[in-house]
Amino acid sequence: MKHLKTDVAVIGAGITGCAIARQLSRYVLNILVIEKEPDAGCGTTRANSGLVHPGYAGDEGTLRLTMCHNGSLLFRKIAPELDIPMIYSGSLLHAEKRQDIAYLEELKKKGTKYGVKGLRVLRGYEEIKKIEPSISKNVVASLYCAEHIITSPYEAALALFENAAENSAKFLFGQKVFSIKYEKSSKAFFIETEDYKGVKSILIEASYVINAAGVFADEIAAMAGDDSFKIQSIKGQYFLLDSNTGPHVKLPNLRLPDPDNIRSKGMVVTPTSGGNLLVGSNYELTDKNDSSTTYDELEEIRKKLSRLIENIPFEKIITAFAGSRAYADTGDFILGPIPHNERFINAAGIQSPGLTCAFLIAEMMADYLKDAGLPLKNNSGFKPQREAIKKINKENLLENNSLYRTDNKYGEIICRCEKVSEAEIVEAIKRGAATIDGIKFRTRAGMGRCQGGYCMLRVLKILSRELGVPVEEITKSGGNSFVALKKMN
Amino acid sequence: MQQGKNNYKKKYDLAIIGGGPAGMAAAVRAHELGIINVLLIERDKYLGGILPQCIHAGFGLKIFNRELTGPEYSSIFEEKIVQSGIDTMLDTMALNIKSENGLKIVTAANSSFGYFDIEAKSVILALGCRERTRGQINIPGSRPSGVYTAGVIQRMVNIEGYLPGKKVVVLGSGDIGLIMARRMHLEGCAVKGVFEINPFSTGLLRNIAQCLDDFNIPLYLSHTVTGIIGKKRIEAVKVSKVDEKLKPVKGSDRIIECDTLLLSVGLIPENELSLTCGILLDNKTLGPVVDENCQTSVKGIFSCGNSLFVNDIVDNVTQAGQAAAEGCLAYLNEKPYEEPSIEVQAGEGILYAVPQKISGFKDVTFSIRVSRPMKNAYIAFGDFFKKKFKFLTPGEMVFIKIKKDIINGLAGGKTRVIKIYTGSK
Ligand SMILES: Cc1cc2nc3c(=O)[nH]c(=O)nc-3n(C[C@H](O)[C@H](O)[C@H](O)COP(=O)(O)OP(=O)(O)OC[C@H]3O[C@@H](n4cnc5c(N)ncnc54)[C@H](O)[C@@H]3O)c2cc1C
Ligand SMILES: Cc1cc2nc3c(=O)[nH]c(=O)nc-3n(C[C@H](O)[C@H](O)[C@H](O)COP(=O)(O)OP(=O)(O)OC[C@H]3O[C@@H](n4cnc5c(N)ncnc54)[C@H](O)[C@@H]3O)c2cc1C
Repeated sequence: MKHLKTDVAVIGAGITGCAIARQLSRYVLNILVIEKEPDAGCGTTRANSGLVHPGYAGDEGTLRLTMCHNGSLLFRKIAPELDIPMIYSGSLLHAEKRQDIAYLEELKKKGTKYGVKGLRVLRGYEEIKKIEPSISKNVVASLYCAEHIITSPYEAALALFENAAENSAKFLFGQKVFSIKYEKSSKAFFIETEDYKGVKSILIEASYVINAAGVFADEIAAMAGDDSFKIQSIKGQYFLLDSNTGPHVKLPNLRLPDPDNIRSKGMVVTPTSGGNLLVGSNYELTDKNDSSTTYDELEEIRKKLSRLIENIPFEKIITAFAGSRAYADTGDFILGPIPHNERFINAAGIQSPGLTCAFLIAEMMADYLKDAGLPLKNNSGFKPQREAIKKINKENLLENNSLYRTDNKYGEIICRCEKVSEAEIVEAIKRGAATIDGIKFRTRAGMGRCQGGYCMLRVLKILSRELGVPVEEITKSGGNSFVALKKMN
Repeated sequence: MQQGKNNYKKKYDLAIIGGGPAGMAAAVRAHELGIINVLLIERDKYLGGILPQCIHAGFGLKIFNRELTGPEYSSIFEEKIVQSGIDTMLDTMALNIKSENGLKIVTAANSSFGYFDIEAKSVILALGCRERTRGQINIPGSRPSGVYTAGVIQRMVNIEGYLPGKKVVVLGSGDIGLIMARRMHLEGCAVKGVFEINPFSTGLLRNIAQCLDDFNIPLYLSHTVTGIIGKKRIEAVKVSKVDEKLKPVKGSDRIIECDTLLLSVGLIPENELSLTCGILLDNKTLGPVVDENCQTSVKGIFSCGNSLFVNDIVDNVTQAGQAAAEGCLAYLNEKPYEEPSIEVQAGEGILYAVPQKISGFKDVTFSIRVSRPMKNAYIAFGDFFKKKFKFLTPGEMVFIKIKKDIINGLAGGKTRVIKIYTGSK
């Protein structure tokens, strides 16, 4: 059994865990992030609406409401350092019934109280159409918010992962935490992990633990003796439309939650930072491991959102997916040390707006660690900047020759739909991609309308070549998700 | 001769994009017709398009009177291209086309020259097609590995030499689905069945016999895959019966264990490049609207092969490539070009008919696809031409040649719309 030792172990490399790792890498510390998936951002962080919420929604008295606006301000401040995409789009929240207008007014008041600027209630189709030309006549009023931002949640997580790693945080991928024991005498946690086959091979000794395990955070907390909360997984399904459909709407168009599940943020039709149109999501209680899509629920989404937005080009659907909200039974984020051990700190129940609040949660985690006695000495070598992989300019093609001159692999187009070159794929591998999905989420190769029909085998071979492993050992997303089963003779 | 990426000229009379059977036939024919300054651009490392991965026999019966394999068929044209010294750039992706003052600027990229422009008097697009994916037909469920389109598996097995799995379910019973079912069986896989949503197979009868019956692979008509199961790797699919409206029948589903789902659910003409210069597409064929010379809505740009509409057999694609070269010659000769002012419309029972526009001054062979199987039916052109068929099916394209004097003689040449439709006796 391999034995590792660290000051802080972070469990989970979603946006929360990665933001925490990056925040902690500002200090002179050994940080180890443990993640069961083969990459950062494979959980809920990969499947959500990708909006930095301004902070007008949520129940009074909850962290989800009170942290949101400050969270979004911090997001805006830090994202540019890390080259995380941000589109200052603003948003509209639509009401279809006259009696809901009062509710929009209420949200406006609530948002204003927490510092959200520029909230306006628009009345009547003509008024709304000026902002969103694709609006349907079913909409009677909308809350306009100038502060909504479109981002890319998985690019955010990957950027944080890269920057944290650059600042010497360590990441252990493909290892699932299955037991945690605390030894009082040495004040150390002993964390055991297993790989996807259930082979137990690593024991991690950590002085402090942060639990950022998403929908599984209750199970991780329970391993440390905290069974004060339970997490339910509440699934949301989406359609993703072709990468030229984003401009069908001008900005995120949100739908008021249905009265029977007011807790949800409701559904949305929004452009993504990649130029696609994202249409979703519903709100259904499911098993934690379930991220499947279902026919009936997708139909419901299609119907409901077609009432808000005219002529959504559903014939251009390229894929559907689902994400799980980590809904704690307290109804709120659970942040802070567990009752009997201040060295084990929860960042749990991080449902929406968890993406928005990730940086703020990360700062709070550093404070909790300090309170628990961990000395935080500034890391003088900390590099806050990270640059995104340089992409091909699709508008002005000849301009790419400046990239080409640095690396002739910029001339070799691997993904025909999204126009991704071999140079970008090789760079993604250097930055930690080891799977087909790892390449896809870093470069968009395979994300387009043919869904990898053209590039998947090409990417497979590049991965094999660059990583020096046989093709039949490369996976789509870790575990046994092999692409090719065996070499033929 | 510049095979590979050694060099290229800045100006050509004709640039052909796509080195599959359509593009190769166009290049060879253009050379025969005396268009000397021709460039052929292909993004793959070899010519042939889809053919090198189709190692089964079944190509060339119509043109060569023998059954060749894909690579054999392809090599006939590759050799001609080498012999005629046509400039060929492999491993080169055409990314954009601009039409400026009658000239076409093709922007392409490769790893030898980077990003560069080529000026051409005319362009033939022979881009082939892409495959419909799981997302496009909305199969719900989880998103594991092991779900691939037929072409991906064909390339994986026949070119790269890897087997995707051992237990295979095939969705779609067109020729490609049938041929791949046999291929997987021959590689030692258990093919659990071929599932087809329609009450009929669109594949050739001989393929059903030779690919399924001979190997006891079951064909389930009026069935579809309604769910994908498995966390990381596909473990099973849910299949259901469908009703007349092709909707799954509740309660009819069963689970079939598999580690591979092979999707052969349709091809879509590839036209991303066509759209960069604003070529008008037909929403039925999903390829460009063309006239009898294969010319698109942008003058001097021609389209053929599977990027124009999806063909059944390669022989037709070859002929289409030749026709495009001939059309291109008509354009390059700068004789007064006969403008296509007659519109061709697809009526009852017709899925589509190409060309969609004609001048009326030339004999025209229409490529027609019907929308459903029919027995003892006819295809009619307005009220002036009718042809009877014992059997019509969407799986087999119909070619009907109409003489120019028939069209031209109509109402003294005043006909502006021709409707093509089907009927029974
Ligand atoms: C449908 C939907 C829409 C949303 N929209 C928005 C939005 O627009 N704006 C917004 O701000 N928020 C939104 N959210 C919320 C946001 O997506 C989440 O709050 C955020 O992604 C949570 O990140 P996380 O890192 O806490 O969880 P995750 O991303 O799930 O990360 C947890 C990680 O822990 C790992 N893990 C779990 N157990 C173990 C173990 N035993 N050992 C090792 N690793 C383990 C997992 O593999 C996973 O990678 C939305 C959520 C959903 C579901
Ligand atoms: C599984 C399978 C089985 C088949 N079986 C038979 C059979 O038995 N008998 C038969 O007759 N036919 C068969 N066919 C059909 C036949 O192979 C096709 O109709 C034919 O290959 C289409 O030719 P094409 O030139 O239009 O397209 P393709 O062969 O697809 O060629 C298009 C070429 O264009 C290139 N290209 C596209 N865009 C660009 C760009 N931007 N820049 C540079 N290059 C580009 C592509 O790389 C490709 O090489 C089969 C097809 C399949 C898939």
